[in-house]
Amino acid sequence: MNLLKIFMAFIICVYTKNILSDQKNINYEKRFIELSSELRCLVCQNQSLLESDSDLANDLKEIIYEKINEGQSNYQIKNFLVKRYGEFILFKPLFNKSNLLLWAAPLISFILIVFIAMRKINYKEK
Amino acid sequence: MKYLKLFPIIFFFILSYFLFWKITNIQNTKELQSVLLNQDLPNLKLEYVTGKFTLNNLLGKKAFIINFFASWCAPCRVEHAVLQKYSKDHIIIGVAYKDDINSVKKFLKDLGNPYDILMLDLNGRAAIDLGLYGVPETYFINNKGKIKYRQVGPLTVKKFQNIIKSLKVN
Repeated sequence: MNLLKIFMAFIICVYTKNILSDQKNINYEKRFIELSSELRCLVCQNQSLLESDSDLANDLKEIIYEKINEGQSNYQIKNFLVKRYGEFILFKPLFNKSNLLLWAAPLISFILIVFIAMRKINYKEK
Repeated sequence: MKYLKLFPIIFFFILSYFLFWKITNIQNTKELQSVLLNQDLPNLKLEYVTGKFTLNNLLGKKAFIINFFASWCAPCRVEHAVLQKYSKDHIIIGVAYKDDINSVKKFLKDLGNPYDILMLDLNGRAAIDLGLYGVPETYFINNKGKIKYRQVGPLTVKKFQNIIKSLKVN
């Protein structure tokens, strides 16, 4: 009876390990797809790394996959590539001092339009 | 309120001027600048093949040029004559990118060897550490070990002279 219990426990352990391992692989794959679609291929510049099949894109994808497996975060991986290829490799620009105007432009435009519209409405009402 | 009506026209002219300025200055941004410009040459994991000295002997002591090339790359063959021409006056390190040693040796035997040191980057990882786009690509390193210029694509005689001239001025 004890032998059976040990055997059952062993089976459960192996099964759980496989499920966890599969889940881990799915998560890695998700992150890999997400990351490589956010990065620009430097050879075919209208394509993401994910879409591109250029030699350099394949090398960079290999590095991304290795780094995900090493347990590095998306930020760390992007930082590694930005240090070598500059912000140009990112489709979405970073939120920093030099890009502040770029990020603030929609909000500034919106405020400006609302301001003009309000003035116009008030003017008509008068 | 009178002035507010003029705002769209003023805004249109400012935007037009900005776009015009951007387009006319596009020539300046055509050169692919390296983010590593004016920074120390990173530690490159390369396989040493032949040479009079090693990279460590040169780094921070003498100015030198690193040329990434490959025997399978057609523009590299065109560029090779330029490197040959200037090899006597400059220290040039050749890095064969994703190539095999026998093909590289044949390539240098056929076209001549302008390199003081020959190295191999078998998996292309050293190239990525330098932010390489493709071959040929050339990096000019000063005597302090800093990257001063990156040339993407083949060098021509005129281009080479201009780079050396601009680096001497700076």
